[in-house]
Amino acid sequence: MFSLISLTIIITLFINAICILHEDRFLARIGWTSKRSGYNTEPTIKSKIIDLISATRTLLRIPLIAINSVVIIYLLILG
Amino acid sequence: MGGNQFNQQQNHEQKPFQNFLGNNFLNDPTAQLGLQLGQKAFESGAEMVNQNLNRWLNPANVKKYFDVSNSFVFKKIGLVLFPFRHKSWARIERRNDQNGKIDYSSPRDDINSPDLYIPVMSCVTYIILFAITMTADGNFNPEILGGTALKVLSLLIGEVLLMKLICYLMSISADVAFLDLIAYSGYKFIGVIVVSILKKTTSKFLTYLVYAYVSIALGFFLLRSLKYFVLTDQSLSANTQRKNKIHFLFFIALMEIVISWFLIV
Repeated sequence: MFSLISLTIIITLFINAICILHEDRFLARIGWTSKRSGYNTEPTIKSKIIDLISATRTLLRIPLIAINSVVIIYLLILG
Repeated sequence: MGGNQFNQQQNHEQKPFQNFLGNNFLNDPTAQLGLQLGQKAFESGAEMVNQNLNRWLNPANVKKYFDVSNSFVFKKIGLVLFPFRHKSWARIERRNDQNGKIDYSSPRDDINSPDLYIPVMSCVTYIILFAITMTADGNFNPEILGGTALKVLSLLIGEVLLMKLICYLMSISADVAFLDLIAYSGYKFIGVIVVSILKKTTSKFLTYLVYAYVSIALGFFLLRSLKYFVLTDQSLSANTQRKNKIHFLFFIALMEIVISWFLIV
């Protein structure tokens, strides 16, 4: 049931889900853009989540292409 | 003429042999280049692996967690199962002579310090217990040992990742070591083993009772131990962030209890 391979596939799917969220079309509607209204005294949880999403998107887009291809080929071969 | 052909054939056959025997192998410049390239690639690969390994699993750091004594192990297990009478939960801060940084003392001197010996041993005991239970039920195959090990490992990794994520989101100081989190996640196996053994030998009611008690004890233990990581004393007590952090502590305890329910064999 729980194997390391299924864990990596689950993690890959989650990261895919985060990277898919388009900034202008979707997040702007909810108001989750990374607007910087000066420097807050303490970053709130919401601003941290927003920063995390945009950082994940920027950083992991290209490795995600490679990881997705590997996973697709793996799943094709082994069913 | 026939002799010449015969000689040529012999020469042809001898050449590949000579190549493999290494005498004329290294004289070939392209082969030498290929060999050097292979060596360089291997070395850089080994260096990268070494670097990463040293970053995540620093051997000097890991050794510190296994520096335990017998009395520490007994006292710690007693503490996990009965944490209600313990008075001081703070970790002792210690010498900073080697790096110039403030370090925590090793488990040998400090009962509150998390160690990795007990979690590793209890994980292995749990896996063996699982295998024994499967054997007693009559369906054992050697695969389940590896399968259970993978299940435990992936649960651990998932928990630690989740805790690290929430720590980042709540601006809790980011120097909570990975190994500390792994250690605290591993303490629940003690309770799981106790309850599993009871489940096989005594009645259902007693098992539930002991499970409830062990969960409360584990939650208390985790709350007291992790308080010093999560809550810093600088914030006021009415701050929403501080309330969030207290919620986070309760969430950790609850998550451990739920996971230990699923782990009971």
